[in-house]
Amino acid sequence: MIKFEEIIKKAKGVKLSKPEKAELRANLLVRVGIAERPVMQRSIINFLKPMPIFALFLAVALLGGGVSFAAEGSLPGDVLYPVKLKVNEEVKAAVSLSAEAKANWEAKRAERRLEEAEKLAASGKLDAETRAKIESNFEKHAARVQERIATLETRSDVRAAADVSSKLETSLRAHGKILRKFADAESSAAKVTAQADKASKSRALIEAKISDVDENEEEDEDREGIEEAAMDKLRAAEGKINEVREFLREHGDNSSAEAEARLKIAENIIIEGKAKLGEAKYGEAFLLFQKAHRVAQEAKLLLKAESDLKIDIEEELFEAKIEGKIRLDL
Amino acid sequence: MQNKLEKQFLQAYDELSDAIFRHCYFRVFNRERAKDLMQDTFARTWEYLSKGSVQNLKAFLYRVANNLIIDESRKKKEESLEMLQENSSFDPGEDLKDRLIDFMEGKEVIKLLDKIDPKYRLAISMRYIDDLSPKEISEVLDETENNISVRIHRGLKQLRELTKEKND
Repeated sequence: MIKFEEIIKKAKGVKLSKPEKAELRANLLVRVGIAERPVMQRSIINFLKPMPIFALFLAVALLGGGVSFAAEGSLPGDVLYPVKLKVNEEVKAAVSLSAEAKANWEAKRAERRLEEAEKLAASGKLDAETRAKIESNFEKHAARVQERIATLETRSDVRAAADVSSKLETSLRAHGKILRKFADAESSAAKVTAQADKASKSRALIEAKISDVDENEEEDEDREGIEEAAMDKLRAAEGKINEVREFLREHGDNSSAEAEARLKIAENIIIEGKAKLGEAKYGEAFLLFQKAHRVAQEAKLLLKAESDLKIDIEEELFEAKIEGKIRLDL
Repeated sequence: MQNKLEKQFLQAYDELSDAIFRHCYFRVFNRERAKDLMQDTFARTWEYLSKGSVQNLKAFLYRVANNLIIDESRKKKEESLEMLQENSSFDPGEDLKDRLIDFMEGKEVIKLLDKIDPKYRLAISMRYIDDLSPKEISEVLDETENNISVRIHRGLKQLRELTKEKND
């Protein structure tokens, strides 16, 4: 008999064939009276705008590292913004050596685009064109992260794949919620949440491989590897919870009750995970600690946005709780 | 010359025609009708777009599709699910082999989905097949987000019961 996930997968397979699509599209254009012509319009301005990357590197080299540093806080529209994207971020990409580091940086870049959109939206400066540019860059990075996660999987580094995809999912979920607070960024919010859903699914698939480990007869070596990974995850999760508490101590007053509730949930999940450790079910323990980390991290991102952007995220924390309950049932 | 609106519309079509088609398909269970509904959805949306602005294009498309489907079901009383399951007009795939496989597996999907409450089924198909967020679904169906979340939750519960039964 058929499982829910399989049902959904099959249902999603229903789509239009290429010839069908082409025919329907052509029919529609005729029907609504749109003539389509190849898009190839460049004004002189477009040729002048993008500055060659080497020129930027040169500028940074001549003016010193201060430019790089100053560029970090820049937003689309600022003079130094190209330096942020094409110098700072590219350099960081180049010096990221491991596949995991590259994947994490790509995810961070996607997140930086979203933070920029949020800052602009918070000060009412997010116009449609800027938003579209940010979205397109965001999507580029998001796609690249997924590719890198796939690469990690093919190299059998399931632990890293799970880690990166878990962090990505959390970041996207949190930012989807934050962007939604701003009318100008609503369409972006929807896109980001859609990506979050995608990330969620790919994470679930990766996790299935990890929980399989406990079932199979594994070599002692492999078992040790997972045990170590689980212990690392436990430390990371506990560390993250402390980080959030620290943040609440320094900043929190508005949403601290809801945030504290999320932290309690994270702590309970850790207790569950520790029980699994006791049963030598290291795969399951790893997944539980990772889940606890997600819960705490999402709370952290929301709280940070509350503090930086002067918004109220109490509702979003509550929503995260509900989401957690619904998705648990899957 | 193609203006911004036309570009926006065509982009939406390229991105969402499959999704809207799929949504229509899982409402009317007939490929040709689903295609027609999808086209009508976009044609009608274009009329609105060219007259005034549309806030959330994706939600708007789903809302138009939903309304068209409801209108059509009011007119056509015949095609019941039972009839479709007997009928070979159930036709999700093109290639004959694909069609047979789809037919067998599709029946499973439909049988299962058919067993849960229609309100829950719609919420679930929009959430997991159409990949809409609860907020978007609530906009399309004009319900509170809370209602939608509750329906998804209950529908999932029902589905879990059904798939569990069969597995035992």
